[in-house]
Amino acid sequence: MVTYALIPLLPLVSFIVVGLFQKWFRNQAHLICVPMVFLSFALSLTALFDVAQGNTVNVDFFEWIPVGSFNPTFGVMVDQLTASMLVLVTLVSSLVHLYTVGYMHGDKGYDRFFAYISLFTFSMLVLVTSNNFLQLFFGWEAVGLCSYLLIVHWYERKASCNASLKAFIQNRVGDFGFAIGIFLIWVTFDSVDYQTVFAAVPEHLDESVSFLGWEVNVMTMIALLLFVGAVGKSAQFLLHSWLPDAMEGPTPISALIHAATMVTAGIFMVSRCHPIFNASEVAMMTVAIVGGFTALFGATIALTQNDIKKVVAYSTMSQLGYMVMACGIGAYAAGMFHLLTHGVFKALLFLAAGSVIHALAGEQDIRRMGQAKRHMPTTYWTMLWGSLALAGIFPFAGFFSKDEILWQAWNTGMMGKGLWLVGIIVAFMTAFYTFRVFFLVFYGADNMDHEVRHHAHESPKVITIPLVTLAIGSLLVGWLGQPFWGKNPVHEYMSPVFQSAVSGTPALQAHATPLPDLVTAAFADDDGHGAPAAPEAALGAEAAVTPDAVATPEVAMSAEAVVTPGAVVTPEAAVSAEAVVTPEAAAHPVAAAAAHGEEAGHGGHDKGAEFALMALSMLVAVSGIWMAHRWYGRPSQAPSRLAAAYQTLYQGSLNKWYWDELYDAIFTRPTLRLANRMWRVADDIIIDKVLVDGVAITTRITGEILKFFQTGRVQHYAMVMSLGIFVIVGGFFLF
Amino acid sequence: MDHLISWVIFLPLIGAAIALLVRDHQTVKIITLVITVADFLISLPLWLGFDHGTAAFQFVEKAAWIPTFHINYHVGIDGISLLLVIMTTFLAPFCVLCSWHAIAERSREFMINLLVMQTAMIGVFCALDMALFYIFWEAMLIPMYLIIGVWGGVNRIYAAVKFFLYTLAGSLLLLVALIYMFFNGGHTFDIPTLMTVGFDPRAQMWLFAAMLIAFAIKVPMFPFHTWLPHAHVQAPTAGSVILASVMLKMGTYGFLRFCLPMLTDASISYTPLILTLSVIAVIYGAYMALAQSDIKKLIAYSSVSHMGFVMIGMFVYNQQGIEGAILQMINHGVTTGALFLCVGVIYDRRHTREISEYGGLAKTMPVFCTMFMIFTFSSIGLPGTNGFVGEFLVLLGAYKFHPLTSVLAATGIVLGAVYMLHLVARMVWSECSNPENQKLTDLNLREWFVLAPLVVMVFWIGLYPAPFLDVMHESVLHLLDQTAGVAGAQQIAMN
Repeated sequence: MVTYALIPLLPLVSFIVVGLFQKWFRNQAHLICVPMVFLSFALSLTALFDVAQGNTVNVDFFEWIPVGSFNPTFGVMVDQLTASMLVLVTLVSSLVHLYTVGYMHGDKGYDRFFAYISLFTFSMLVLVTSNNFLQLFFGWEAVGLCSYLLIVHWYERKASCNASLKAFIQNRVGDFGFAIGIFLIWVTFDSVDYQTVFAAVPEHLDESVSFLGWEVNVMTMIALLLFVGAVGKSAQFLLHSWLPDAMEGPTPISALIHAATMVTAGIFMVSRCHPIFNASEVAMMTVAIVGGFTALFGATIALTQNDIKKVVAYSTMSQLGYMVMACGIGAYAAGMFHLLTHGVFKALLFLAAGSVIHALAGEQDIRRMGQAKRHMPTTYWTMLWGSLALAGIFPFAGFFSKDEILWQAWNTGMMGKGLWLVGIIVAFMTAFYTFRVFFLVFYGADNMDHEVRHHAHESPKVITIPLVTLAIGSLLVGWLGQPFWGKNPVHEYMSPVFQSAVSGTPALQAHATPLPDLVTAAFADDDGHGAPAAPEAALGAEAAVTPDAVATPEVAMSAEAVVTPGAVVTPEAAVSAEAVVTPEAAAHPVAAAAAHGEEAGHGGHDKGAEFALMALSMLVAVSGIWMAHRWYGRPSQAPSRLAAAYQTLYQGSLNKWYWDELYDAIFTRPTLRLANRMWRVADDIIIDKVLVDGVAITTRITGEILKFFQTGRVQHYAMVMSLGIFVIVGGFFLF
Repeated sequence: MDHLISWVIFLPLIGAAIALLVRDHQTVKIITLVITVADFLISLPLWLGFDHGTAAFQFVEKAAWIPTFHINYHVGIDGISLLLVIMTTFLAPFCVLCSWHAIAERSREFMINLLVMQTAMIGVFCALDMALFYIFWEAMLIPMYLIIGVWGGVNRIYAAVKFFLYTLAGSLLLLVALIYMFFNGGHTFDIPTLMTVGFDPRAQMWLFAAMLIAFAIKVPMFPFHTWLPHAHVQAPTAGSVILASVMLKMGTYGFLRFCLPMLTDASISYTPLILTLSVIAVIYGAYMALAQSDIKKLIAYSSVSHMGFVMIGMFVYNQQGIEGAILQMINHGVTTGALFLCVGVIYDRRHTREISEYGGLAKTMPVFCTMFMIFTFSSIGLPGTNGFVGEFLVLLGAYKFHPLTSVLAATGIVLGAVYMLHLVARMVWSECSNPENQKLTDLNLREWFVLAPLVVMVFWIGLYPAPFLDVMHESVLHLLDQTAGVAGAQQIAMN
């Protein structure tokens, strides 16, 4: 328990020490930061195994803002979901710390940089270990702050300033939605504690709130508001344009923050809040569609970018879309699995790209690289492994996690089939653009500047060691979620979280094709033909009657089965969840299977279909690589001819579909213009000059006029008085 | 110590009297510093010895003063005023320190003004007699008028006169209201007694209108805010700090002390108007801030926006909202005061407030920039800083009361980030191209001592606000009880 608290606190200590005593360090900040974060990593590993034993932890340390029934705390919760995030964050952070020693060597802000990445690590760990929404929000905004501070690391560059501003503000827009989501959670549940809120979800399923005159289901509303936060943080479509710009920051933070950890916070949050999302079909559908669209959108832009980091950034956006899509179809474990593998291989790609940039004296344009293989063999093969993992080639990590998502999508009804199609198209593009970069950098024509080529060199050990470690990781981590024999270990590990009694059933899977072998496949090993489908609690599910619809006992069983000792779920919650599920099921005898649909695929005869799909996606990926090889592996005219033929599409992709220009025209410029106009006209002239000073001036003018009547002569006063009397008396007689 | 509150109130005045006898400027500065620090130290027992368990006024002192008019010297504090008093005494030494070299001429008179003003300000928060309250309220104006008018910038006379007349006009309406309450509340100026009177609802509407204008000018609420940018821009640093940190709180404090408990029916009726104006203030103030090219004006308009949050919190009739509002008063005092102090630091070096004159300060003044960034993020309301706790509570309470108000006001947290970070990007980051900026020196020891304690406050309130919130609970619950009878049906339909 205390050790768990140390995991986030150790990096905080290094931040405070380095931050306060920066002057004493003289570019030696790594002496404290690196050991601390490695220690954190070691502790995270113990947490991972400890949790696997069923020893989940949930403690409050102190009350943060105690006001009446609003009583958020600072605490630590470590369950399977948190433990896996802990390991990912501390692992990547450790390696990035190490890498930074080499990469930022000689930088003026060396110590400051270390202080901030330590602060970031702390914030991210606070985010994932939170046991309530407010601490989550604390971490959520704190990582945004660190991202801001690190993007602007080279603050003298105009581009860095603009990028940092954009990142923070777009994230704030997301956080605006997130904060309102928290308000609504508190108003609905009278608590912001995860455990209390999730357990109470079934009691509030049918409540609604009014939103701009519409009555919206409260779960839908909460889920969508929280998702707005995720859209900002995870750079989903509409709040995505900050992520590529964030590449203005030094490469180590692109790897750590803008690929492996912070940007995945949205997926983590949605997974963490899955009981709420599961309760709303509309929200799930939105999540799935936004995710799928972002995956496609990012990939189309990545195809044509010429900045090596931009390509990787758009690919990150696209992969985040994949994960969000997985959440939307209720395949949280698959989404988290992809998050973990992606964290490893994308960090590798960024760091390898950084190594290339470092070696080529800061050159980032892939058109001015080529034949770098000769100069930097280690970077070459590590980047190859990373690219293979991203492209989804067996047996590298991306293959397992990506196919897991595609397979889950395939099994989620008609919409799922559509998402699968999107996914497979994106997979092709991914393979293509990843290897486009790879071939342009390491093969192709040698377009380097003479000067640059002369100095090109392999990076020092402190840079290559993290690369090699991550490369090995990219080969191995995928096997944690292998689908070939026995149980899928990742699903097994995660099941207490996503199939707990409070989880509910992913709403979209209500429409899924009935899958056989559900319960047995998930919790037993035999094939169990004809096992009944589980009932469906999702709201608004359509009643499509099928024969084997009612099977409540199994659900009850499964719900109980997963309550591990010490888990955050109380038996009462389990009971209440069943109590709600059962009548719902009776009311809607939905065919839907899939209480735990994501498990279903691994049982019995569906293996055949799954392997067929795997083979297909492999084929797609390989053809993408082949195409990249044909076009970029050696000098070729094909790309430019194609670009000329489809000028509009090419320009659109190259210019990121003009999204920056659009935002500039809709938001940025009008806002500034409006502010200026309003200030000059409304504030300065109308309110201040006319109204306020107007009163003063009127008073003065009145005084100026009236002073002529103050002549001091009695005759005048007498005359005015008699005139007055005359008028009054006259008036009196007249009317 | 007996008569603790009276000591806290009048120690600065005694100091001013002593300073009058001394001719040497340097000695007067030292006397003032010692007096303000001593005042802060003796005010601490108010907090430490404060009984959390009661809503009654504490440390009460009462003596007949002008018996003919039933005016008493009656002072005391409750959970609402306690922190405001502490904040006032806490900030005073920094106002002295930041004027140490900045006020070169007539510094002796300046210090005396500061001390007199301090007594008046603490008096306002402690007074439990309306006549006494009004005297302190008006007494505060004169030293401020002089500080702006004598030690201010180029347009100081215009700004000072505007400030004085505008607030005075409001005060007169307040006076009328107070006199009416005296005659209809049983011939007494006693605030605790008047809270129990229950004025005629129709009369309340007029009384509330009078007080609304008086307090709204002070807060300042939209559209009564235009004196503020002028006053801030022209005032010397210490003047800006006091104006922003303490004087603006007088308005919001007035609403809490008079309007809500005494004019409950009218408060409920006026709630839609006040919430509407406050939401406008939040958004409008932010937009105005975005358009500014003068640092002080920018921060002045940000005050309009932030005080809008405070107003919203008070008129949503729940514990979260009101405690958030009170805490936000303190936060605004700490953070905006600190931001003005920061502006003072660079103004002393460059003698300009134009944002475009700066740029790349991170290079030459890293320590200053670190602190400035901390206050910036506190102003933006980043979790972990004080600004977050206040704003979040206010918006949370507002959401419970009327969701649309909360949602509209919450856009202020986005806009806040826009104008503050836009300022930072132009001032702290970017290239240090101006040769004038390349030779700037970082904070000296005096400036460090001015800003560092405020940094501590930012994080203390941000991470562990319980000691601040605990003292409010009973008083706020009592206030809610007072309004509850009428505010039973709280959901007021707003368009």
